[in-house]
Amino acid sequence: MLYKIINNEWLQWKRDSRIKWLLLFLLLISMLALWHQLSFQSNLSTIRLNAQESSRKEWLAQELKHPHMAAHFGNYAYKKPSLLHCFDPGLSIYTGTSVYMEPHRQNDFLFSKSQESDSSMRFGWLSPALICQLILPLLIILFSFNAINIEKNNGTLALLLSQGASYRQILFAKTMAVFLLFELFFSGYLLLTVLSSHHFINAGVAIPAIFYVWLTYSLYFLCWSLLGVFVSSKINNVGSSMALLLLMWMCTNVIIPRVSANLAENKYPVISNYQFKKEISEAVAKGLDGHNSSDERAMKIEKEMLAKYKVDSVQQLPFNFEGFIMQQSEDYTSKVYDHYFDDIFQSLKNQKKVQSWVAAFSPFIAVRNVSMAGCNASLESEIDFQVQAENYRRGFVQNMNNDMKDKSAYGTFDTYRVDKNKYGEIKDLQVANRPLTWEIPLVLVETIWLLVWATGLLLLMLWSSKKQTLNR
Amino acid sequence: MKDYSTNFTEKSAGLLKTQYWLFTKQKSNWVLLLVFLLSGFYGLYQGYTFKQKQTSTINIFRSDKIKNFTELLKGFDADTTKPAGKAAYAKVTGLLSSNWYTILPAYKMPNSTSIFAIGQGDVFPYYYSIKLESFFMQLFKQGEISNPLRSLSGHFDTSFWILFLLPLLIIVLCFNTLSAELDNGNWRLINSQGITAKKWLGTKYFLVAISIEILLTVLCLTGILINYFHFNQLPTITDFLFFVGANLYLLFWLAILYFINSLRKNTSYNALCSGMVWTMLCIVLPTLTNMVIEKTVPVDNTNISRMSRRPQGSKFEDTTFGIKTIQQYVVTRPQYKNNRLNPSNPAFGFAVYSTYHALMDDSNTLAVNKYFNAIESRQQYVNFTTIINPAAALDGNFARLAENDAFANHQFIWQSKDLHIKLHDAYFPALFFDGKLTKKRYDSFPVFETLHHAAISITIFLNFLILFGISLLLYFISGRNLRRLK
Repeated sequence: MLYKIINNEWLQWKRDSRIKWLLLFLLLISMLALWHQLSFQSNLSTIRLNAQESSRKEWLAQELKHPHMAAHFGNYAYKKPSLLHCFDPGLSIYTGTSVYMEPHRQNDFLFSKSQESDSSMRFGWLSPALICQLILPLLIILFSFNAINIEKNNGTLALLLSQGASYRQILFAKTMAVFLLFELFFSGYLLLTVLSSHHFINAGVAIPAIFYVWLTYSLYFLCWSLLGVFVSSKINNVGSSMALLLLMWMCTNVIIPRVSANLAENKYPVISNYQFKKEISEAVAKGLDGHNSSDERAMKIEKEMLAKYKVDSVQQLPFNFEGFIMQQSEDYTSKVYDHYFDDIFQSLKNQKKVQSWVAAFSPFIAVRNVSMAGCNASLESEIDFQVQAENYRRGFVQNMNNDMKDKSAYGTFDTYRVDKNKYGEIKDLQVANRPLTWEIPLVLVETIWLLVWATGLLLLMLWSSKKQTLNR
Repeated sequence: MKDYSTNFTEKSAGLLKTQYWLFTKQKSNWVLLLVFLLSGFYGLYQGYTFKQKQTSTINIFRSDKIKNFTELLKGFDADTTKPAGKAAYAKVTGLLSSNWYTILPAYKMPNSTSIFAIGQGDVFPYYYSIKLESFFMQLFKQGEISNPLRSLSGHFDTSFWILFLLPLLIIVLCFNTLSAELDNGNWRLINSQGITAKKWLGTKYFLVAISIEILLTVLCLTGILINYFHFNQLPTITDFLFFVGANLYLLFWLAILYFINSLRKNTSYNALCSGMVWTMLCIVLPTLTNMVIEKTVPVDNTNISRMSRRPQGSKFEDTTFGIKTIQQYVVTRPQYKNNRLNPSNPAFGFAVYSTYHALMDDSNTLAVNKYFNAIESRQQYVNFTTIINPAAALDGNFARLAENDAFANHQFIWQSKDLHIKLHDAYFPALFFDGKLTKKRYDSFPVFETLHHAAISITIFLNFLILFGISLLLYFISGRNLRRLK
């Protein structure tokens, strides 16, 4: 019976020209989104590869100079798109794409996609994820808002019941009819996205991540299918059920995400960059505790070294003390940066936490965060890129400072030059994408909310069908 | 004729009273209006919070920089007989130390309309520290900390309230004005009393328009009062244009609903149609337009992104390279042609370094300009798409009025570049001729003042005109449809 009802639903849709137009619209906009992302991400991949190559050439071509000055010439880190960025670019469009790395300071990540776009980005950026998160639920509503009430109004529900189908069976069959249709579409769409992305972008395929994304979206579509059929079973007026579902969609997918973002920012504000830099420079100059100035620190290190090597002056040390103190200062600056960056990252993570809990009222937020995590475009993966870049910067600067320390004599800052092979020894940063096992715990709350939504709606439908059966 | 018009007015007033009675009878309408008013205040509060953060950051930033600069200048009055005074004097007069300690603030003070529209204000920096070195090298290192998750979600500001939520309110209040009566079979009764569909709809829409107009006016006035009392800003023409734009958008949505009702379909159809139109106008069309524009106007930052690299090293110690660089520099700045620099001069190395940076800026300006122009073109295209994409176009124009878009950001950058040039003009004579800095020279150092370029452009007026035109056309077509309904 279940199969028959599903088949009948599909047959009715097949005969309805309006449904055909809707599906055509979905197909068109989905293909446009995919094409747009493929073209953007493959172009981005090429641009960043070229930028990295040019930067490398400039680095290698610089004249022989003092290693510390060469370090000041700096290097660049570019984030390359991953395979699933074609499906969900997530936060990668709002975070900086490159960073200039030099001694003494961590520079800001600049050139985000959003800085180069027009203001209509505020309305969303066309991608397969946007289609699946925003448009597909809307279409599910259009397919389900009259699933039960129209049968009631036309008197065909009684006919169906008289043919042996239980009310519960009808409800589930209607839900499955809508869900399977969109699940089929989504599965094909995701597969096409992955295959075409693999063709256009030279990135590895992460099967577990793809499966995780598929599972998450499937749950999301199930939630909307259940909600649509449930509302249509409760509200007899077709117009009212449509209005209610549309209102719910607007609230959960448009209004709540913005309100939650504002709430999170108000609760956990992030300090301004100026304040941040000011605190850092003060901490570097006066010490993290305010009682350990840079001069005092240098004096202390000098005394320790002289005592350790049992010599009277820094010139007698077996290494260049200037290089050593340069690296010591670098290490202290890094400590200060870590201290203040931790505060910022914590604020950002707290803001995300607020949104994760608000996802209890909006499955859209839940699926958005989980999808970003699965596609390696979440807040944590962006922070991870920054951390990897910073670790690279520290290693690179330390390498150059050690060259000064070990190979040059004290007081030869103006005359010492690095060996010509030194530049080649410094390799470019290779950003490693984190595995899914690293991402999943970060979106555990959202995953639970999605499960709660799906289970809750399922139970609600069970309870409602039971009540309806009793009433009859 | 007089009798007829009096009769007509009386009838309309009576009908308006009936509609008012029907409207107030439903408590849900009052709740709805209250909820929307509160959400409007919430949007205004977000605009206020954002503006307040920008203003206070700028104030701290500016006062710190001024304080540091004033501290440096105290070196002129220092007692040079003492070591500390001597060091302070050397610090302020020395070319290298002056360069090291002179950091000028450049900032974009938010204008009055920014309280209503945050626009892209969160993605662009609004203050820069300016030193003598290459401007672009400094520029492309400075950003602002923001949560990307916040940018992804978007702002709940007054602009969002107007563009996304007001249409929803109009839809909820108007989508079944006629269809409900047609579905219930009441229409024949209403019509038998000489009330035409046009009049029925007209009076209801007038009532809805007035209600929403009150909400809009209350919000705009509150914003203006906050600007006046808290930010010490008087209302400007941009505030007025924002209000006009919001009203035209309200008119536009009333016209859409009027048109949907005039199709004389049932309530279910109207709900579906209104929902679809909202989705198309507020989600689908803006994203599609954005896609087309991105394809049409490509933006490549490959060259720009590497401008932050600091050129320094042994080449600046090479005398031949130094002389060549300075010669190249004086070609475009003949005022420094008869400079007193020579390789034995202690300032020579620093002059080579500084002129090299200035020449770098000269050659990079064109590329940056091209890069900025491409971004601005994208915005310009969006702002021109009213006829197919009214919500995003109006949003772009609101951001323009609030100076929170790419245009305003780039204008601010060029203003900062002017400051950098003026700093060169004040500092370079000391470097090229005097060999040290005097108090008089410091007096000529520039001070930054945010220039609010009139954000009023022909595009905005054209947009408003188009929006008004579309609304009129919809009213006209709907009128024709309704005339056929007995």
